[in-house]
Amino acid sequence: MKKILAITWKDLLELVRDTTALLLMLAAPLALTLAITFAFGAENGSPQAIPVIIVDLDDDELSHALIDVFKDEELADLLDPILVGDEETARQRVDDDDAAAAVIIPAAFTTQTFSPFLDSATRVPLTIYENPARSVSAGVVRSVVRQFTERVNTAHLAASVTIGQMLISSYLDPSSPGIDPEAIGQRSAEYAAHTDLITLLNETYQPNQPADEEEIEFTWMQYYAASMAILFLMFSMSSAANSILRERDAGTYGRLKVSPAYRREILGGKMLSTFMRGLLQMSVLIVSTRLLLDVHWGSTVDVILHTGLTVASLAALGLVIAAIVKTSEQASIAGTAIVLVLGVISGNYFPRTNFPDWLKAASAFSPSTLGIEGYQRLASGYRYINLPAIWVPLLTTAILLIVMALLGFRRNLK
Amino acid sequence: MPSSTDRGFMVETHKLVKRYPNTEEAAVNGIDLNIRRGEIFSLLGPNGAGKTTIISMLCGLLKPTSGEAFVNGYSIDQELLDVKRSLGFVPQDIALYPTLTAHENLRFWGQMYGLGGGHLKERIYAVLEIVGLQDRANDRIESYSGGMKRRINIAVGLLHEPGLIFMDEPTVGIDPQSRRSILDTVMKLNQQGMTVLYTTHYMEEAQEISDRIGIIDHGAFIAIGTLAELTQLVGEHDIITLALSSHHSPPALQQALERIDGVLAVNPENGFIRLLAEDGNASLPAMVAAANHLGIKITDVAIKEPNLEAVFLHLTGRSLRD
Repeated sequence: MKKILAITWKDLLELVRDTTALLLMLAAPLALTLAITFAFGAENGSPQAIPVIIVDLDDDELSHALIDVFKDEELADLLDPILVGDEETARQRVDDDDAAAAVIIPAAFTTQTFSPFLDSATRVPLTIYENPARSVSAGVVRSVVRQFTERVNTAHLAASVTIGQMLISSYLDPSSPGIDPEAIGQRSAEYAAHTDLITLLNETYQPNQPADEEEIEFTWMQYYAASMAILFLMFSMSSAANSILRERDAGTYGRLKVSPAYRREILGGKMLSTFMRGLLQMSVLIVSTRLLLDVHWGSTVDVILHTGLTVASLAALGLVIAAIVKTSEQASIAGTAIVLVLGVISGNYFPRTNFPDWLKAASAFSPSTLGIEGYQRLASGYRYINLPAIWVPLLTTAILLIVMALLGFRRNLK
Repeated sequence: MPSSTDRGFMVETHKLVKRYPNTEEAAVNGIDLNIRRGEIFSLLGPNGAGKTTIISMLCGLLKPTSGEAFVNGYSIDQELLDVKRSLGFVPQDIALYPTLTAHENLRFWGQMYGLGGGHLKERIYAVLEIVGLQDRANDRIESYSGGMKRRINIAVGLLHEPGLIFMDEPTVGIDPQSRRSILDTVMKLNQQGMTVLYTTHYMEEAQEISDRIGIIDHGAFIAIGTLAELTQLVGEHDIITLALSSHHSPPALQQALERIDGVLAVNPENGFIRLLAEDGNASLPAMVAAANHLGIKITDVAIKEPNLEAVFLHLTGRSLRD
């Protein structure tokens, strides 16, 4: 273990002495995050209409009003509502990443909302089923629905107060069927005390939110801080892994082989140093974007865990590249090409939400895709309990790639 | 049967062969080598003769195609880790990290040999003293001259106090002052009891420092012995160097020189012709006459007593620098 740590420390010391590499690792992603964010010109929203599934199990006046809101011409550039017949299909389409969210309007939504016999403790549920991979877009849908329910609550309050006044003023007969003056008066008083009639059930917005429970807005800055950090992490991991080939070319690997260090110690040291380099890079970027750009990354412990797994899988990817090529020049060229292609298909330059299905499927398990999506979820308030769908594939990818790298080095570094 | 160390050998090889894939000629072709404890043994030969391949096999960098070898009594096939612990290795390349200081490099390599703590610190200062670079310990290697880098390269090989050191052309490409310093260091180490296997293509170095010399060509020894034993192979012959006004040595001149009585070998180089003759002074007038006859001007002449160059020329018909 001492030899592994010695190799790791030596590699990190070399990195610290290499000003160019440090600039590429740390300053470039920050600069690009800022440049791309400002190039988009907005911190919120999406450049294309957001697909949203609507299930109308009510098919009545209030549900039609809500659908009209989604179909409003003013929102046509922002929202792309799709009506489906049943809740299961709607949820499935969100699960399949066809839409940012599904709005499920329950049966008897209108009747219950306007019922004068509704128990004062009962709230009419309206479900929003969100796609965690499109947290920005899902936030927009949530905001639109919330505006609608607030309008309904306000209107209902106004109507209740009006009816109460009409009863008091004898414009309405209290003995008329369906009129309960006592209940109407009680509900009017409750609404006036700011209670909501319609409750939004957000099924993916999990209860384990950050302690301050503040509203978390996902921004472009947030997206690109993560995606650029991962893009440059891929470059530096590829370069770091390539250091073993550069050592071979410089003769130091030969000297290491002549020393009484086992090959597993040499490779272990190189792997650990590559991993530590990635952790260092991501830590500096996360802390600096938090302090300089006010980017919210999520729960500290969860971000550390996610960063560890992301770095491990990308470090392993870099090692595989170094292990399968013959020279450090080939590794540089192959590494750059693979990083650029992965960057495009994994959403490092543009979000994957608007990619065709085949491209989404092709890049679903790329370490970069998983890394970005994990950071998106964490920034949206998710906690570790919601991350297995990201972490398990990341860990599996890392293990598979490490095994591939070891086999490759075994053949190439004889 | 007693082991190689019982017989007093620090290095012993039997019919060691290294054949690279897709090549007809073996890089090392059945080498039998015995290096005694406490001696400086030089492998002398032109570039590509197989010197580095022999060292690479002995320290475990390359696997022999056939044959066997023992280092400090350990088999390179069965006990490689013990072999590695036994020897110091100074590669032909400067195998150091340029952005690290000499001290940081030495600390790292010491850790690779299992050294640590106060002992490592002591050894770092000891080897820096041996190579005379204590005052530059905290400077980065990239700021060193070529000769200083070579000296630190040697210092790394001495860190773990090996009884045997392999030095693969440690003076290539450096200034005369650094070369002198390195040769002095090698001899000093040897006086302290260290066995040295030294490869070089510089005849003068092999002549100066070696107890025994193995002359190698095309992967095989063509002669092994002390300097005196090797020069006896040539006899009382002289080596004559003719410097020509032209960079080219016409074949006609070479043929004319070969026909002169007492001339044993003729080897043309760029602007020079090196000859082995029974009596240099006696043959020289005929050589000058042959050149004049062909209209070739001789600009300088040197006659030397028999040396390793003469031995190589005598045995191969070629110059060491070919």
